[in-house]
This record gives sequence, structure tokens and C-alpha cells, in this order.
Amino acid sequence: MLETLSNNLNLLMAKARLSSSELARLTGLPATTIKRIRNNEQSNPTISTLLPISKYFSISLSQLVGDEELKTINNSYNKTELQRIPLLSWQECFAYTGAEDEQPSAVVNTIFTEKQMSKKAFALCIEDQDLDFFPKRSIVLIEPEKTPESGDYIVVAKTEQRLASIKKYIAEFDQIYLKSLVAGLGISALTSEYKILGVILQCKIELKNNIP
Amino acid sequence: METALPLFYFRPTICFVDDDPLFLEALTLSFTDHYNCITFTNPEEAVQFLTSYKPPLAKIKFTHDLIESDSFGLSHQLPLNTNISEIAQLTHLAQKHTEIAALIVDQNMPQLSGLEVCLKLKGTPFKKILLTGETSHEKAVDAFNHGLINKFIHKDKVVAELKKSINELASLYFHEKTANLLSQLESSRLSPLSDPIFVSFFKSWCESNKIQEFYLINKQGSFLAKDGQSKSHYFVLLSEHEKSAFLNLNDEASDKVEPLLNRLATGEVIPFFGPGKECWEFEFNEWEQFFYPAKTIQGRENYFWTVITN
Repeated sequence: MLETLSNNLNLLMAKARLSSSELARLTGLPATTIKRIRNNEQSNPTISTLLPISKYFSISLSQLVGDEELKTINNSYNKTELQRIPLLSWQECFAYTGAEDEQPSAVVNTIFTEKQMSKKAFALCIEDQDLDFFPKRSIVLIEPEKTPESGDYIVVAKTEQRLASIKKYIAEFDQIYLKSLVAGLGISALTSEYKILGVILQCKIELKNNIP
Repeated sequence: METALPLFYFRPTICFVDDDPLFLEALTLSFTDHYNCITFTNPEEAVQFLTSYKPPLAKIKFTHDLIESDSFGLSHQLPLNTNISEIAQLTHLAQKHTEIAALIVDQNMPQLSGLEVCLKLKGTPFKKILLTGETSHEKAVDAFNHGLINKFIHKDKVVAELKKSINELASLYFHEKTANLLSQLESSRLSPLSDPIFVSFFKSWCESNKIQEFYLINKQGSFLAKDGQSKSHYFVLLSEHEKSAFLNLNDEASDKVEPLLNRLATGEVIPFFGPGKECWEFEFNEWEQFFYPAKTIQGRENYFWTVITN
């Protein structure tokens, strides 16, 4: 482990193009102590020595001493934490706001995702047979906080009907169109009678059910 | 054989006890240049004063418990910390010159004999010199062998011998005061302070520059020294070993301070960034002003030295 500490420190200092004297000046530690760590001569450096170094390089103590990988520095993308998203019906989702009493604990069905999604996010199950490339029984994850861009698949509902459906969002010549995924139904312009419920970020396709 | 250097030295007080006031006056006259003198013609008064006397240095401690050390709670380890730069704080210690380093007492006095005085003061830290006549020689030898006195001088030879003896014993007094600090200093490597060649060099440097007090300011053996006019000098020392350590520490800075480091490598110049200061507290472009032309002494290893006068 100590060898990793000296390797890590040498690596960090080389990247920052710092000498022992310069790091000493920046951290307030004795340059002799830094040199001894780099040469792997310091048998047992204390927290009061390691903390200013880890703070200076914006890494954790575990990363500095090599308990945690150094290359994940400042890269929260790699932190894979699963998040629970409520699985709603196509009728429910129109009124869903993500408020406290509607959170996953109150909702019977939830879907896990590794994606970072907002508290308003929800999931829907595809029930139609013939929806373009979304096969029946696949699960789509919807992010209401994201602004749709041309080419995105969105979940949209007519305010009157309060029934959601998937449309392709197309922006062309300052005009926005919604393209139906059902073959034969055409393109319609986005008007005020539509309410966009969110952008589809992910589709989980169930190819085969393992429950007998 | 030279004893090791004390880590600090300042003008101490010498206490003279003799029932003959004329002799006392004549005696102290030749010491006032280098010492503070107090005199007693009545040995009982002297004993009374010296038993209630508190040495100023007794209150000063240079080692501290290292509470944060992992071994602090262990019953078999002493985690101690010494801050050398605290030694130079003694320059500000009021009353320090009242520190009594030696007592000079005449054996033949009507109220109390010199040996009786020494017996009453047994265990006191200052050094004791007994002035003897023909009749008391054997008693003096006996007292010396029992550690009651540190020296005895025949009254006939006082002028010739006393000065040398007082100088030696005053130096020994400070050496004993700092011996434990020196052994701490030498826990990993011998210090120049115990190298007889350096010790005699430094003593003669002090003599020729009329240095009256000095204080160690770093592990390398550099001192803050003050002369008779209270002028401050930094006597800066760097051993061959410390020189290599400095070059090694800064081996990556070679592109920025290469000419300076090359001159240091040959011993032509040595760095001194100030008391308690380290090289890394300064930017490389400031370094040049802290390098001083150096001379060499050959002792246990090569020592490079320079003197900086403010």
C-alpha cells in the first residue's frame, strides 16, 4: 500500500509539474516529508501529512493511499448507484408530479436504473404491438426535466384526453412536429393542446421472461 | 579533551565567599568583564541566600510531550518533541544573567569553613571551587573525591588558575544543562557539537569575536551569537551530509536554480534562509539572496561555515 502512495504522489506531482519544494510551499508541509514519501522512505505517514496533500489534489485519502483507484478522480459518471423509478400506467403518468406521496415507496411497481435521473422521472410499459422499435412489454424510462431535441422520442398527451403516447419529436424550420410511431398515422404540428410529459432516455427490452 | 559544546551559553553569575573584603574586591575585579559577580564576606549569609535561590533556567523546558504521537499512551515510550528555535528565545529571558554557574569559597573563615558551606549546599546545581591553604589540602582532596566540590585551588596560585577554572566550569555548567538536548539531537546522527575539532574552532571563533552569548538555532549546528556590544551574528554551519541532503531534496529544481546548486555542491556557498525558515518557504527566484560565501573546516566530516552579521 505504501508503495502505491509513493507512486500516486509521484504521478500527481508529475502531472501538475510540481517539485517537492513547490508542493511543500503550497501545502505547508515540510519538503523533506514529501520527499521521503516519494522515495518510499516514510514508513508511516500520519493523517495530518496526507490530508493536505489529498486536499491539494482534490482526491480522497483512499485514492491517495491507493485503496481506491486514482483514475476515477472527479468522474462521478463512473459512480454506479442504482436508482428506483416508479412504473406508472399510461393514464397515471399525466398527473404524476414526483411529489413526496407519489414516490416509489407509495408506488407498487418500480424499475431500477443506473442512469442519473430526476425525482420526477417515471417508467412506462409498452403495451402496443406495433410501436416502431419499442417491442411489446419493453420498459421506457422518461425524464420530464429534460428539454426535447429534434429526433428524441417523447411521451406526450393531449390535455383533453389525458392519455399519453410516444411520439418522435422533430424540429424543422422553426416548427415542431410530432411523428406518430403507429404506421399509417402521420405527422402533426405541436400545438398548445399537447402536453409534453418527458423525454425517453432508456428502453429496457424484455426478450424472454424467466418466470415460468 | 574538549567537552561537547553547550546548546546555549550566556554570561552567568559567579558567587564569591571570603571573609577578607579586600581580597574579594581584588579577586572579582578580574572577572567582571565576562561574569556578573556577587560577593559575601559572611559565609552564613551566603548559605542563606544560596539555599533560597531559584535558578532562572529551572523554569525553562525545551522538550514537550508529543500528545498526537501514536506511542503517547505507551508506558515504555517517551514521545518527546524539541523545538530548537525556542532556545534563542532565551535572549528575551529577563534575569537570565542571575543564573549562578559557580561558587568560589575560601576554606579558612571564622564563622563557617568553606567545606562546611559546600556541605550545606550539597545538591545545588552550580559548580564549586574551594580555595585552600597549606593545612586544608588533605580535606580538600577528600571533599573532591566525594563530589562535594568540583575543584580546589591553592590560594597562592589563585591568580593563575582561577580564571581558567571558572571558564571551564561555567562552560561545563551550561553543557550539563543541555546534555539531554544534545543526546536527542544525536539520536540519529552525530552532531558537529560533539566533534572536538569543531568545538575548539567555535570556541576560538567566539573568543576572537568577543562573543558573550550563543544559542543553537538549527540541527545543523548554526548559532545566534551576540558580542560584547550586543551585536547579533548568525554563525551558519552545514555539514557535508546536510549539504548532500539539501541537494537531493532540490534535485528537481535544477533547471531553476542550477548555478546556485552547483556552487553549493563545491562548497563555495551555503544557504541560510533565516532562523526557523526552510528553503521551500521561498520561491526559487528569491533563493540567490540566501546563499553566502562559505569556508571549510575538516572535522569528522567537512563542515562549511559562514557568518552573517545583521
